[in-house]
Amino acid sequence: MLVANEFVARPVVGFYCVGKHVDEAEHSALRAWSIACSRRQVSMSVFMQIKDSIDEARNRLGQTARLIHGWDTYGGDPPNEMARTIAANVLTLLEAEALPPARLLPSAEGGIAISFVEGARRAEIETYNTGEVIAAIYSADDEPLVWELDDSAGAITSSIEQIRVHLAA
Amino acid sequence: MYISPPDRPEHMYRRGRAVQPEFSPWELLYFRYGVDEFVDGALAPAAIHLPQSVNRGEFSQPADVLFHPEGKYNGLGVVEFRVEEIPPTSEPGAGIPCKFFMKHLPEEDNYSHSEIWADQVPETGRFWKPGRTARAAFRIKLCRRIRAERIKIQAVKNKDQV
Repeated sequence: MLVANEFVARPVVGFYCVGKHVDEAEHSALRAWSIACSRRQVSMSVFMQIKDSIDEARNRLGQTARLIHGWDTYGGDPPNEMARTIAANVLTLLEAEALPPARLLPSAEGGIAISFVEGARRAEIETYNTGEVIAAIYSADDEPLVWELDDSAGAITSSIEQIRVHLAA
Repeated sequence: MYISPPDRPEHMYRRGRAVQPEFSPWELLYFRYGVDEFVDGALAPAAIHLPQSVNRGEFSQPADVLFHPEGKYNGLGVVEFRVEEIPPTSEPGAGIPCKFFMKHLPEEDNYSHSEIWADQVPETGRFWKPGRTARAAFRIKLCRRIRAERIKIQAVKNKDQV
């Protein structure tokens, strides 16, 4: 007899015999259905995690609009409309590229910083009140790689890809 | 959570003391941070800018950076790092060469007040702001050394909540 719970504890691929009951046709169909369900659940879960991260970052970005001069207790300028607009565009592209940020923060430099972390690998995208944008990838000890980019969708998407490759390496 | 005392600690006042330009590489520096400025165990580069104010450990206690007569910094935290952990120079090829160093700039009610400065190489004797990428690389290199174990007083608030 095939029991749904028995699928749960097994690896996701392979052919299984349950007790002495071996019915390849039934087994394969059920197995395929089970795998499809699991994959859908994993996809939905990853999708929701990314969406939650982006939503949280958007929420934080909205909150930065009320910051005033000296918000960082060290005389820092608040992010202005230009920095926030570019950061919002970056979030849209991150959502499209399915790369969730670890944190969005106002930057003491005057702008918005979007951080990424994957184990010891980290990355940043910062948008500044001047309209400048930088991206950076780094690890624990090596020299950070920092580059300036323009605020076009193509340049931002290209940098997101570089960050993705760095984080996945 | 840190609660500021009503009166400024006596040791914070300058009381005519001279500028002490020399910093030991091992001297501790104290910096005020907000709870969200720690990202996955390290201070976020977004927390730092140039010039960056800190208190030098030679003449202060960690809690001094949170002192405010009206308790404005209550709930923020303090991290420490050493002078030797400040990257000494910009990387070759990252624009105009520059160096980073400590400058003791005492205030009448905060003798230990100091700043992380930058200047061109060769020196001009004034603060000089490096380019964007050099500044970003500097902030990243400093902040990745400031990990959770360097927290002296734990933050429970964000800076925009004070």
